[in-house]
Amino acid sequence: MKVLIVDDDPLIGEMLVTAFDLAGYSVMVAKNGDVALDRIKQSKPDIVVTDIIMPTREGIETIREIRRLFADLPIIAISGGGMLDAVSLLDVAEKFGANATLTKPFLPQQLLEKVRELTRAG
Amino acid sequence: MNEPGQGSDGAFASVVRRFRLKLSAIAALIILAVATHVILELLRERDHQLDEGHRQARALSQSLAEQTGRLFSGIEVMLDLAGHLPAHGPVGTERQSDQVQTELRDLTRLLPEVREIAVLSPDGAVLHASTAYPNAVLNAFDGAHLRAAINGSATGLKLGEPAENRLSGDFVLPVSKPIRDQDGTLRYIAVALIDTDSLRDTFAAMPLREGSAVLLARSDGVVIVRQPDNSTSGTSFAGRPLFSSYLASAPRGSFVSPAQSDGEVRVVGYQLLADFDLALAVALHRSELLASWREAAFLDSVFALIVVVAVLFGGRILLQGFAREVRLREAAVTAGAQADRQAVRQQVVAGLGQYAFETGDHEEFFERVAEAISRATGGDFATLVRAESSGEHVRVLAAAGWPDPGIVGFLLPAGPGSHTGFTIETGQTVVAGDYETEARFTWHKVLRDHGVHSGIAVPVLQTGRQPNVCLHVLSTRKNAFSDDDIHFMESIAHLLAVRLDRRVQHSLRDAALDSVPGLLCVVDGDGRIILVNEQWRAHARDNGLDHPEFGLGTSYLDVCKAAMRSGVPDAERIHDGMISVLRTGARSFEFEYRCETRDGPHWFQCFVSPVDLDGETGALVTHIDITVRKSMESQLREAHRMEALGQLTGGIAHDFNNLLTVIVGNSEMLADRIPDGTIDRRMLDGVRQAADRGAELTDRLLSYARRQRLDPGVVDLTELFGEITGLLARTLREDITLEVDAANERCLAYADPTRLHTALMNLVFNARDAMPNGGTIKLSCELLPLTANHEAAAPFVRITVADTGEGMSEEVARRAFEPFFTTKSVGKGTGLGLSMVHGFAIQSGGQVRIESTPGKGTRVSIDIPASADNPSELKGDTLEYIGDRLRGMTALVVEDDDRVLDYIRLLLDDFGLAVCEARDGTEALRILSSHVDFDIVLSDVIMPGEVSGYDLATAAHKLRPGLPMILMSGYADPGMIEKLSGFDREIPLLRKPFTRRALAATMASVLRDRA
Repeated sequence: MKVLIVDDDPLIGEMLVTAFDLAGYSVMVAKNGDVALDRIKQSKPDIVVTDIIMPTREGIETIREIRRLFADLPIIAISGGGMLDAVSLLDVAEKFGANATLTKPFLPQQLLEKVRELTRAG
Repeated sequence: MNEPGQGSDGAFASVVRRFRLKLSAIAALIILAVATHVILELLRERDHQLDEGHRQARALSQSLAEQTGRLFSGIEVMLDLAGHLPAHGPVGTERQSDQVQTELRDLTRLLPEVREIAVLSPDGAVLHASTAYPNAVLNAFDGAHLRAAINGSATGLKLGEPAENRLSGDFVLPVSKPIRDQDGTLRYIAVALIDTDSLRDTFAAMPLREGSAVLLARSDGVVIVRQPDNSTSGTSFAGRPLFSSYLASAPRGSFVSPAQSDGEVRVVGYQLLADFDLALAVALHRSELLASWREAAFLDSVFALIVVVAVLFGGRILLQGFAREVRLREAAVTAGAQADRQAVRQQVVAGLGQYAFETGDHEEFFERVAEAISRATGGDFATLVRAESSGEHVRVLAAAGWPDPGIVGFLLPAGPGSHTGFTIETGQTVVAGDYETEARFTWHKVLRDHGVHSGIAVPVLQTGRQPNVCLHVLSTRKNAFSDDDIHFMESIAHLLAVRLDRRVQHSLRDAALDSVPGLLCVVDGDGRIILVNEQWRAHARDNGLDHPEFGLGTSYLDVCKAAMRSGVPDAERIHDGMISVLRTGARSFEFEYRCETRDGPHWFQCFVSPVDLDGETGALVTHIDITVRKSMESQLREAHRMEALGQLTGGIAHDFNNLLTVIVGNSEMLADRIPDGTIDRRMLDGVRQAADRGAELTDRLLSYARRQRLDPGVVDLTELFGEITGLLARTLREDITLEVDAANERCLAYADPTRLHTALMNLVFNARDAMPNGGTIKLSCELLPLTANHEAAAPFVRITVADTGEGMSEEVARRAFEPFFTTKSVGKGTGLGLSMVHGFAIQSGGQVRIESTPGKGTRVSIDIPASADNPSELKGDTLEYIGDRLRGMTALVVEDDDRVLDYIRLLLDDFGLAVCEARDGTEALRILSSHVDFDIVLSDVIMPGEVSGYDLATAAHKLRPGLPMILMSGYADPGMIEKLSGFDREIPLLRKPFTRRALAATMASVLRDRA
């Protein structure tokens, strides 16, 4: 089971790599959306966990693009309070194809549960 | 009609007549003198001409007589020679006959007038003759003549009777001369025959005038030759005056012969030739003599005529000049007289004009007008009427001269039914000289009954309006009014029009002033108030600034000075500003000031601008209440500040969340690896707890920064209040009462229930903390009417939490929503409670207000969108109207959220629309590609799948151009998504949550645009 983590914050990335390693997943990290799309094409992960606010390519756009290219790839969006005016970006992400969302700060256990849910269903 | 200038007119006419008479007499005299002179001169000239004729006649006769005398003397000499030819010696020694005959023939050739010559013996026998036929000579002589020649002792020439030559038929005059010896014995008689024709030829050769005649006769009257008339030769003129009287009295002379058969009067000159017993006369036609005179007379007459004409013409010019002069003088005098009358009328007009400006009493002014026109025109009655708005009548407003005062208020028929009605209808002055023969309108019974026969009616023409008032003056006489009366009436009508116009302008001005949204006054050059508007008066009344005229007449500058002395701030600024406008012509100035009024402090904007008061610079002063604007400005400022703080806070919280995620995550994972109860584990738990507290804090910060993830839904506030009171009943101190002001009707809000719950709890705790000595906390809610200060079409509910605590100062109230601002002691509060409430309210699409009075309490109210399910929301008339329009249409609704879809379907069903549903953009496109007809498409913007609302809109536009579409979104500004979709068309966007009314209104506007 391969997991792709998309986050520009190395601390988050490292923490999540540890969490997924411990849980027995094979983990990759992409610093931004472009890298993420390359990795998906190369390594064909089973699930993507992406932050929404990233420097080079908006998380929402990344989600849209992933969904366009890979209709069945599960996506979990995470955010630490990003807002599009009065509405949370997480809601937007859901509309554009994120299968689940998670607000920072969260417990690694919560994320692993969502991943398990989605991969089991898939 | 009278002709007022008639008297003096007559006087001047008679002056002109007298002058004309004199001028005629002078002209007649001149003409008479000229005529007399010309006639006398002509008569004198005629006499002169006639005298000249006489002289000519005499001279001619004399000259011809001399010529004739010379001829006859020649003949006598010739006869003397002829008588001596035969004798050669003594008697009996005569010469040869043929020789003598030759010599005699030679002699006759000497005088052409002599035809034949013969020499006779004393017994009368022919001895010798110039002709071979001597008897022809003899035949010319009658016996008596010959005998007389033979027997007479005379030696001179003797003339015979002119006789016809028996051989030739010519008239000849025989003349004879006895030839005697020296002893006197008659020896021969020489005779000659004179050719009368030859004599006539001689006369005819004379240069005589036309019509002249020459007569040669013997002195006894026997005519020898008459040129031109030959037929009289041989006849006797002895009876004619020449022979019967003139020759006897004088041997030469002239006379006038009366007209004969040819009608000609002749001037005859005559001469007696005594030697030969001959008379010669020349007759000249008097008409011929006077021919040149007649020419001269004609020229003189023409000249005289010219003179006469010149005199007459000159006289006429003189007369005209005089008449013109007289007329000018007359006009001057008449004008003077008219000016006097005009002056009287002008006094009346001026008096009325003055009164028009002084009095406010309309009716009395009308009465004065009626009196004035009747007095100044000499009319018996006068009225002033106005057309009734019904258009059927005119009403008498004022009257003068009528015996019955009841005439005022009397209704006359409009239009041709009455003189005044007709005048108002035509809008022109209508003069009636005689009502009996008037055809344009009816002679109303009232006028007939009062014996009125003539009148003038003049309409009052107000600027830009149909005439509806009319002046009427009437007389019992026919043709009682002059042109001046008409003009006078018209000037009074004009005056009246000016007054009526002025009243209209006044009320328009007052209306304009009163419509100014502020207190307004106008001051004159000295700063004295001369005009105020209704708002000014109302403000004065409301604030106890009672002055009988609301400040009119008082000096604004003095008011400012008094205010300055009593320390009113800004009074000096108004004072100085007004001085600069009034004195130095500064353009205008404005400033804002705060002022205590009866209902608290108000902000005013004062605006002073110069006003031209007919040459004097005054000022227009307005004070506009800008309290609302000020408060909105301050709210806006506050909102901007909060926004900036929010962004800052949100940014920090976001970063913190990332850090907390790492801390919490790693702690969690580490915890799995460290057994419970160890010291390591306790230390790790400490880190976890701290991280949790940090997470709570960032949650609040995000809430304030409106970056909370909300899950709005319908909240029944009554239920919510119940929950809160249930929860807090035991938590609150005993000295604090928590009341719920139950609304009359159910209040449903559209908000995140959990967050709203938290916000209200926060407010209640704040209220509790504000009442250390106890008090009451009151929770209430109400549905705000749509007219409240919200731009949205959707209604709001207002939730209020009020306490009876300490309250807060203005400064504290102003900063109460700032994050980390707290008045509580350290450790008692985070300073984020109210900030969180504020952020939540704003994020929910509403607002929050705080009102506080120190010592009395604080009231915090949150306005959040009302739920569309509110019962009252379903009652609008607008909805029914809109619903009717939408009935029968078909809509395609694209929405992935089941709850939202249900809600929209419910509303559209209610509007009467048929609804077709699609779960995402792809499905919607499939439906739109089919043949199903739609009137409108409603689509969510952000939907799962590849096709967003904007993508759908673009595709739908290609598939079905012109199909109305509405996008729905929970995002206030989905611009980012719009950009992502590359969308560039204008499509109405309905913000979620929306109400039934908002949906209907947006649909109606889209469908109207399309229509």
